[in-house]
Amino acid sequence: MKKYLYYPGCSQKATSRAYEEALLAIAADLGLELQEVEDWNCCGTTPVMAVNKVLALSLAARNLALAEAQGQGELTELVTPCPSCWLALHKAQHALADDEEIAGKVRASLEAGGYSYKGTIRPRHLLEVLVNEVGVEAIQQKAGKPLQGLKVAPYYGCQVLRPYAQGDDAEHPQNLEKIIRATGAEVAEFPLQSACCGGTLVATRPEVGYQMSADILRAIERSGANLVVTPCNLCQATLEIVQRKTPKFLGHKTKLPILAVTQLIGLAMGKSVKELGLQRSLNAKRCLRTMGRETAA
Amino acid sequence: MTPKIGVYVCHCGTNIAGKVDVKATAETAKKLPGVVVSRDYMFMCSEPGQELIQKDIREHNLDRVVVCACSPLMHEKTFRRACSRAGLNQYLMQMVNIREQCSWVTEDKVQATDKAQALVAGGVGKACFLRPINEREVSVSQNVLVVGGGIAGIQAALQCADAGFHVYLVERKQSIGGHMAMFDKTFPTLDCAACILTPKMVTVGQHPNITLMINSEVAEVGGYVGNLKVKVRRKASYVDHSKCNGCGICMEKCPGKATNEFEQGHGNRKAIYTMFPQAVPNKPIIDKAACRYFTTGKCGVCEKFCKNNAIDFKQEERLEEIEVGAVVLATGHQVYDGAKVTRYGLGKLPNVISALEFERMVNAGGFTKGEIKLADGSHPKAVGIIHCTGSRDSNHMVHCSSVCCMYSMKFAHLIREHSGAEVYNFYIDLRCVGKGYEEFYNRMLEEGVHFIRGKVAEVSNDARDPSEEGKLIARVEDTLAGVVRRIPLDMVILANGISAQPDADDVGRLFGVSRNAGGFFIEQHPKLNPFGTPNGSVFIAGTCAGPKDIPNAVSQGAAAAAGAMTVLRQGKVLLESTAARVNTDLCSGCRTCLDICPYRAISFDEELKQARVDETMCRGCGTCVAACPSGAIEGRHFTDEQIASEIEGLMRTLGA
Repeated sequence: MKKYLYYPGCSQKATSRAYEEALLAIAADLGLELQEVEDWNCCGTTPVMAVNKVLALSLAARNLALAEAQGQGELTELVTPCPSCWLALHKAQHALADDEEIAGKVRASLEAGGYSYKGTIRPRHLLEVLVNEVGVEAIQQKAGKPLQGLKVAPYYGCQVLRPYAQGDDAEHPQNLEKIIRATGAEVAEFPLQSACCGGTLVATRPEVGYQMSADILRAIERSGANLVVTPCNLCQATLEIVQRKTPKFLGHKTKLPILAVTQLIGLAMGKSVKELGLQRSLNAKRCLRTMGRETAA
Repeated sequence: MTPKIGVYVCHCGTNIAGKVDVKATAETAKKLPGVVVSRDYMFMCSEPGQELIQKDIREHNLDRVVVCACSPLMHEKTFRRACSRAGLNQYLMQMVNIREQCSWVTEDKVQATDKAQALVAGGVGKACFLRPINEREVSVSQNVLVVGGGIAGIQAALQCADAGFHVYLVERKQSIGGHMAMFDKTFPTLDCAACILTPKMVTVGQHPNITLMINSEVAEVGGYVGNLKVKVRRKASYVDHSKCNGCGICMEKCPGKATNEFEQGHGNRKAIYTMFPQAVPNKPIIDKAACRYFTTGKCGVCEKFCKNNAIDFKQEERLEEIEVGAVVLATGHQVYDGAKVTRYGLGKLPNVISALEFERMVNAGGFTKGEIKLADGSHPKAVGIIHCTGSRDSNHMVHCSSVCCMYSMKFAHLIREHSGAEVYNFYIDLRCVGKGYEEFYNRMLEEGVHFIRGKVAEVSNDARDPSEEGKLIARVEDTLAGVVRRIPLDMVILANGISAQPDADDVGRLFGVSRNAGGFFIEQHPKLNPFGTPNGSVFIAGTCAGPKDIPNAVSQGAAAAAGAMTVLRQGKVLLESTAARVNTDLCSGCRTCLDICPYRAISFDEELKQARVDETMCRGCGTCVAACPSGAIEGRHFTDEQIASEIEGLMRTLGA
């Protein structure tokens, strides 16, 4: 078993429960032991960063401090499935190491709360850990390539690749492709695999945000993909929601199932619909039909 | 016998005297053992300074001279010659560096003077034990080796051969011509590359002073300056070129096929083939991997049809040894793989092509017979050319490839001329620095070529409206207009840059030439000797020394040839006099020294069971001296007693 500190982030407990359910369902089989950081808080993601940088970094730093204390020097790698969380934690790590001015302020706020952080934690994103630590071979061994015949579009979103692209190539990412092939499915190539999905713009500037996602969905459709897999909870939610409005933006309705990477691996490993939270999908029925699993629901 | 030493302390203006008390230093030196005269002088290297030494040698019968001045790299030769002129063996002169290693690097005047005095005492200590050494001259081989038969190598070979020297021209491929042979037109004059290149190639092939070694590589370099023994690997071509008359019947009849590399992978060639119709020599070789005789054991059609019995399936690779006095490295470059810039889609999106693919496409002898065509056979209405693909990019190559702006504009002209399609040049900066280059750019503006200043972010097939359907879309920030644009195109040409040869490191090591961060060979001086190398008999020319266009490659080829001929014309070269020497009474024959000698100067005498140093090859580096477990090897001019005495002098003065 490989042991990691685990930071789920808020989404995994709410909008993206299914992502985490699937992760927990496959972790043991893949030899992953995830030790959740106790008393964690919001990572200080984009909206906070936009309003107050010190506050955002302090929120992330508190999580790093908690992880450091809990890991006691033995566990230093902190895995999270959420790209926003990963990016926020990574940014805080960088700021504390390289930006004297802001580091001083963040340390002061940690101290005020009775925390300290030496800087020993290394935040890592789940997708990269699955490929670089668990290994494609191990996934293939557990899954046995049962998804042959399916064409899966690898959609990265922006945050796992930019600006840091830890454990992958920012301009030519391959981690999702490797996982798709390990399940026996075919990779559907399309041009916007690391384009931004629109994210929160869907709520704040819908006419812009919806268009961004719609463009991605159109490109995926043209690739002949049966379904989409993503390492990002926000992308998954956005692409699912936007599909309800695609007639307005594309002139026709799209019906693509959008799976989290853990769900795809879980399906290949034969986990049940409930274990993988597939019933929570906004187009669950279609999703299951695609997978040939409609009766199992 | 006590030596008679003269010590000379140089002021070097204020360079030394500004920190070191030169008068006191000269005065203290008088008290050192063996010193009969000690002086200081403003500029020892000046003529009166040298006169001073020579006068003292004659008047005081000096048998050792210690000059305390700058680095020996600067003036050791000057003072050695001065001693020689006064009849003193030049190796009885010792330099002490009190400038670079003392006055320039010491803040405090007292400390600087103390250090200078210690260094002088060390020098005097060593001088006591200096022994005269006689120099030896050897004659220089009158042959030149040119490695690489592109335009730079061709130029160098022709100049040397025309001047009467014999040239070995080693070319890895089966024909000379290099990259230039693939080009259609040349910028900015638009003359046809083949028309100006092939006459030169033919001259090389027929020149009585040139031995052309194609399908060959340099395997080993031995020997010493002026007399390099080079082993050339002559790869098996399975065609005896001394019998072949180049009739071509074998190529006509051959059933074996392979991808045509010269046409950048478009179309096939035969298994027995010449690279292109104007190849020199215009005689084929057999590609073993594609040949049916070699892969199945059955065929031999070429053998049956060849009237001259030139086919030889049993031919084997062999090493040929040649002796040369100088080398011109003209090993060329590799075009940067545009597929590595993944966001432009080369290899993934049809109709995204590399620069060399376009050169072949637009060439009348190329794979489309000069027609500019898309993958489906139709003609493009809009073509994009992306400058700086892989160049000036910290993710790929940081350097500017220097030729891409100009060849991109040449492409633009050819596209306008051949097809009338709209042409978009996407550039970061336009670098048109040669003669007539800026004028060519102006001409392109008049020809209606579009120039968009911005680095293309991505080429994709992500069509978003009917005007983009079936097109390649270049997304680019037009930095002059200040907008992000999506430009639908039918064809995209990547102006991929110039990178070093993948084996430049190996070749560099073979000839003792270092490489810069990009892998290009480093010249001896970037301004005053841009064609020489620190290895006095090796010269560099063409793109192996950095990206350059044809006129610059030719100029450098000529300059390298001049350098090589200068070495040859001198006729003689001085051998390193500080060579190591084996004391046969002490050598136990353990062979430790044999493998560590970087110049392969040590051999093993099987009869005496002892090591032997070849003085012509030894460069006096001292590696074997340090490694010998019996202390049997002595570094002449750096003997144990000389070094011990130097240390003693230093230590005594420092009060240790």
